[in-house]
Amino acid sequence: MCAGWFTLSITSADNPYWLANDYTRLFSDPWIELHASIAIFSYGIFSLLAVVCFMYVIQRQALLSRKSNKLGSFLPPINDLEHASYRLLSVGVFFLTLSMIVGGMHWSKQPEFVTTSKLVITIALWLGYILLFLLRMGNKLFGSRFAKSCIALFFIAILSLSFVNSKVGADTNNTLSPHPVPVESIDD
Amino acid sequence: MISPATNALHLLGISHHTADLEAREKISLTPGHIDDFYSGLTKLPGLNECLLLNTCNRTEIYGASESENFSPHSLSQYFCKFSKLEPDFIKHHTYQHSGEKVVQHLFEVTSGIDSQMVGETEILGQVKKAYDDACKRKVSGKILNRLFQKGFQAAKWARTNTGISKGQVNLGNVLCELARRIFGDMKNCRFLVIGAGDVAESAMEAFNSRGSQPITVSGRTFDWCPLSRRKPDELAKKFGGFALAYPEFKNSLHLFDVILTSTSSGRALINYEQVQKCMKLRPSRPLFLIDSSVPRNIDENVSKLDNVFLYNMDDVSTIANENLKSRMKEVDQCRSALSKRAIRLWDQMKAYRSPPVSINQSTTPFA
Repeated sequence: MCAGWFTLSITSADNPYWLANDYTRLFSDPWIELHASIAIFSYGIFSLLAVVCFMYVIQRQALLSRKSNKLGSFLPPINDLEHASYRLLSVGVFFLTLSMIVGGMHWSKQPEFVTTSKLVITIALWLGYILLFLLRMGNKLFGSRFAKSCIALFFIAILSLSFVNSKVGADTNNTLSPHPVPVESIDD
Repeated sequence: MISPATNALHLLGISHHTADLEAREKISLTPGHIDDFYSGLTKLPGLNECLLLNTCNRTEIYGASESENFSPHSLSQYFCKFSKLEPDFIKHHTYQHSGEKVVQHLFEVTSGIDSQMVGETEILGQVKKAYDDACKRKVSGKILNRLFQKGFQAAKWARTNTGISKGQVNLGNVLCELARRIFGDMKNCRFLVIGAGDVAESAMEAFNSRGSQPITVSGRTFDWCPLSRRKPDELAKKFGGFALAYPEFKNSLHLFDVILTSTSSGRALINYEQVQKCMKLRPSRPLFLIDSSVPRNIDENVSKLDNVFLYNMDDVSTIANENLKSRMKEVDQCRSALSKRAIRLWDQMKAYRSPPVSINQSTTPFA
């Protein structure tokens, strides 16, 4: 967190770069920028969640093998991994939901930007994580099944990234950018 | 000056390597006899310094002599006389070293590679205690002071630079390590012991020393436990825990994180349905079950439940033995390194007319 704030403060301190006339925006619309950044952040959290769940599965296998296991002794306790995964899922779902809200606001104004496949896949993934969160919160899904579900959902999310490109070359006249660049390959 | 004839240091000892438990019991000195033993030992002609190391697995006499009149055999003769044992019995069960081999042996003892449980650290404390005792009695002088100080340094070096202490080999510690891998900090662990066997006590000691929450003990009958004939409530009191009435424990399983059974009931005290019911009340929190009873007290099917980790004594022993094997691999390397250190020290002891001043040089040897 501190490292993030530090990095942001360093980059934001470079005013001439941001205020330059020839500054090229990555996205065509500030709402898309916000949507993409939050979505990427949530995906980062989900990748961490997958790593934690992977460690959980390894630690569990090590404990169930009932043998001396060097790798298991270096990994965090299984109870801590369970707690960490729940918290990561909660935070990830929160940010993904926020990203969906921001993206939804943009989509309602400019639906031509979003392909149907992107819409379906992102909503399906969001619902998948929401379902996972609700099941975990209600103690219906926990332990190894929860960990495996998180890993599986993350892989689906990664594989589906190639399908969530926005339409390239859509009408850019409506954008606020002085130099619109409609490149949004990873905005979800 | 230490004689270059390498006869300055002597050792007479008995350990688990040379004698079984019965023989060690006969030779071992009780605390009440230590004063008398030292008073006779210091009167041996030609012996300038001496030190007695008396533990449950070994009895060793270290001696230093600057006189050529001293005969190492006088140590065994004195030991026979004091312990009132036959010379053949002593000769058969003891070992005797002189010079460089004494240095090497002490290094191996302090580092734990000569111990029954290779790499254990308790022996270093016992040697330190024996050395302090010898210093207080003013029977350890410049030779033994230097030898033992170097022995402590060698032990520290061996534990830091080799793998002789890696992994847990004590059953209680193995259980604690497993509990740590499941729950992390022991302070959050609630521990229930059913029965009061030796494994239970060892585990309670290990958990208690790591700061677990007060331990709860229950027995098949509250008043006495058939396995050890010891009251569970006494055991609970010993470790500052609580005693739980036996009929209550089955309804309280969900309140505990670690449950250890150690009874001789011969039947399953905890079955699948009980653990399933318990896990419904604490679904996301793991449960660590340890069945140290033979026949087993916990239904093996409970390990099929998610978040339940069941270990029996075979499993725990297997882990302890694997850890011990990995330590054994390090022993040869450690012994070789200690041997080089011993040779170096012995060369220094022979070379210097006046050994460097040690912290206890002021203690006057009895010569």
